[in-house]
Amino acid sequence: MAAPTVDLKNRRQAALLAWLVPGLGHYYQGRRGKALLYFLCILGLYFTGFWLGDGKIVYWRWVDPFKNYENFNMYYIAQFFVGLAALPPLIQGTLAHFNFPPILGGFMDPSTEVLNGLQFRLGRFYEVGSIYTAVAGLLNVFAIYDAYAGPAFSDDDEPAANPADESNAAAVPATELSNP
Amino acid sequence: MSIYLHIFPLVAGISLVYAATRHEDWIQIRRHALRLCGFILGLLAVAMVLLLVVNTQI
Repeated sequence: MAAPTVDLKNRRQAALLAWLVPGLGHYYQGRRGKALLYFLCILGLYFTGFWLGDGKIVYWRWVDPFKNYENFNMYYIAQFFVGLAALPPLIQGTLAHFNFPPILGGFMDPSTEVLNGLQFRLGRFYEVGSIYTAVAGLLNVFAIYDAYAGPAFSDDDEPAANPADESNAAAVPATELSNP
Repeated sequence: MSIYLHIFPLVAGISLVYAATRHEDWIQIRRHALRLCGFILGLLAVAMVLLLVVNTQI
């Protein structure tokens, strides 16, 4: 990977902010255009999926995936990376695990009966909504990495279009490169 | 809205975000996103045609 040519400021803080709200880490770094792009694309996909799933497809339960796979929501592992918007299920799931009542009127904490009814009622839109929200989370992993390490290629450092250019560049002696 | 149309916003979002993680320049981002979007949709179209042929002709 090329050395970043943008000022990443405190890159760990930027990565944390990028996880909390997609685009916030880039806004902190002064990369405003990218911040807006990530914010709109990632949260747009997430909330579209959330809406398609009737607001009930993002949930989490602390169960053993091998023994209780029916209640295990594998999609949440990806959805988690959307950040704050996907944190309520983790709080609700943790409260339920320790036998505390749900907060916020059970928001993002659907019962098994509700989920079964939802799958029957929404049909394939249940899956589409789950995929949208999960892909949004996975895309934010890219965005977090971009906030932490900068773009994979800086624009001055694109791979040479002509392979001959690369071989010529490699043929330049190191002494010439170090003594311009 | 047909369930199949939901692929377009998804592919557009994936292409834009992926391209943005590779470049800082907007012209490069747009070019990369369009190329990637076309590639993904083309691949899906080829897969769909192949599956249709297998399902209907074989």
